[in-house]
Amino acid sequence: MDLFLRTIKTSWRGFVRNGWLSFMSSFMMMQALLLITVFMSLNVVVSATIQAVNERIDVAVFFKEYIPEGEILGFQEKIRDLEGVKDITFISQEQALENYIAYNQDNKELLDVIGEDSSFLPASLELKVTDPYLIESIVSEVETLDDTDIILETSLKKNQNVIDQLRKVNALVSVANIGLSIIFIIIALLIIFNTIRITIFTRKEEIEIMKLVGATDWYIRWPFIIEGMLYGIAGAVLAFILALVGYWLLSSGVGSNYLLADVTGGASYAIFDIWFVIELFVVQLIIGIIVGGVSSYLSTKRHLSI
Amino acid sequence: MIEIKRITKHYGTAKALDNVSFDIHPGEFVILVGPSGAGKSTLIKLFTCEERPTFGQISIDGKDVHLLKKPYIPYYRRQIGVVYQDFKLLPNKTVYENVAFAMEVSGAPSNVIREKVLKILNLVGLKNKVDSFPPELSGGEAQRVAIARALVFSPRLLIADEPTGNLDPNNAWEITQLLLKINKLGTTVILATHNRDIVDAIHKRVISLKDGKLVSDRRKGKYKE
Repeated sequence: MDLFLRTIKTSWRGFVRNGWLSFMSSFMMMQALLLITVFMSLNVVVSATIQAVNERIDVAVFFKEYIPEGEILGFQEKIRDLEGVKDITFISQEQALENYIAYNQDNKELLDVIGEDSSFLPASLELKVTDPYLIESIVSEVETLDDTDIILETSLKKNQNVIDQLRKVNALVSVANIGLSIIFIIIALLIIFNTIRITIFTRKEEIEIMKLVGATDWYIRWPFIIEGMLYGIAGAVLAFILALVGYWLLSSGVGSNYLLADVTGGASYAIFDIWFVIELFVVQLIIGIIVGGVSSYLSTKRHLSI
Repeated sequence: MIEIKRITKHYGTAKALDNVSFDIHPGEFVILVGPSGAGKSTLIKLFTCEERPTFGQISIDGKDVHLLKKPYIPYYRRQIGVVYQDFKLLPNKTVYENVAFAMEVSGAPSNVIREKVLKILNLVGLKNKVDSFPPELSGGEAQRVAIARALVFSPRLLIADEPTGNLDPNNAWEITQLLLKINKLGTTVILATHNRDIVDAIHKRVISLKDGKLVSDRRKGKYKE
């Protein structure tokens, strides 16, 4: 216990007395952690975008004219439990007409021609899927289940091209996201490791002296490791404050909401909520502490050889 | 009893020490002299286990110090006190903390450390400087802190490597007096030095090294290149 308190005290003194060095190390740590913040935020935006795009990939099953609503609803029950089906919405002929009118509000002439006659628009079931790659198999299963031959057609044929495009975009964005994440994390780790290595290099004489007066390796190492962790904690706190300021500017800045809304396809939920902020801080703190400690451990190692 | 037997150290093809042998009895005061590159510092590094001999051995009480396994070296180093020309004080620790550090590494309790450190700082005449940092000290004061640190374990052997090299004659003389006093209290002292005046004045055993070889070993000797 005495030893533990002594180590903590020594670490804290080292942190305070090497004030400028500690400040610079914490500052570099902050930069590295901000990189991670940017990456995590980017990740959130990208996931929201992918999710929004996936939500747009759906398929409509149109039914022949004069098929009674009850029969369609019965069919809906049959296909509800198919694998990959997230949600089914029944659109009656009247509903379809309403949507159509709403969509073509500005085209008075067209609306005049249509009038109140809903019979020319087919009733449909709109299927949302959990995974856009399942669409083809879902549609073929739906068609197999249609033993009374009530389906007129599906939107798959018409939209195949669009769906393929969306899939490509999704894949590209995912790959780019993973690539960027890896690059960001490597850069961040290198910055932290190098900073601590230099910090400890400037104090290598101290380590040598400690060895010469008979300190064991671990006795020397622990205060340095804890100091490294302190850089991590200080850096995480600084990065967190800056990130908060950044988000505040982003969310209160004119037009930026539109930007985000645009990117995420108008997702109606807040993508940067309080939990994300807390998660961010915890992640930064953990990364800061672990990487700070491990970097110190590795950096002291080479000076302990005498 | 310290025995140096046929100690040889090569750095590549250069021979820093070549077949050097001598004994040191407990309580002796031994001066190592010789020009730069004679092998004095190498010999001291062999004593502190910073280096390993190419051949030969240094034994203290019959035990070859270079047979010690790495984890035991710190414990061995606590038994010998070493004082260097450049003091080797920890710049971010106060005088008190520098001396206390040497005891802390052994896990001694804080109250024991406090009592002993203050006593030793008193012995070297630095009681009023306990809270100063090394950069605030004069060379003579810094060297006295280093000596205090070397003494805090009550070592049986104190090695001083050019302790007066960076000091003016007055301070050099005071440090030498301090080493003599420590020797009188029973500690074996090995003093490596260039300082002819000091060697000639104190009439102790003088071992001369040149080009890594022992050239003379005289009781109550004088400085001789």
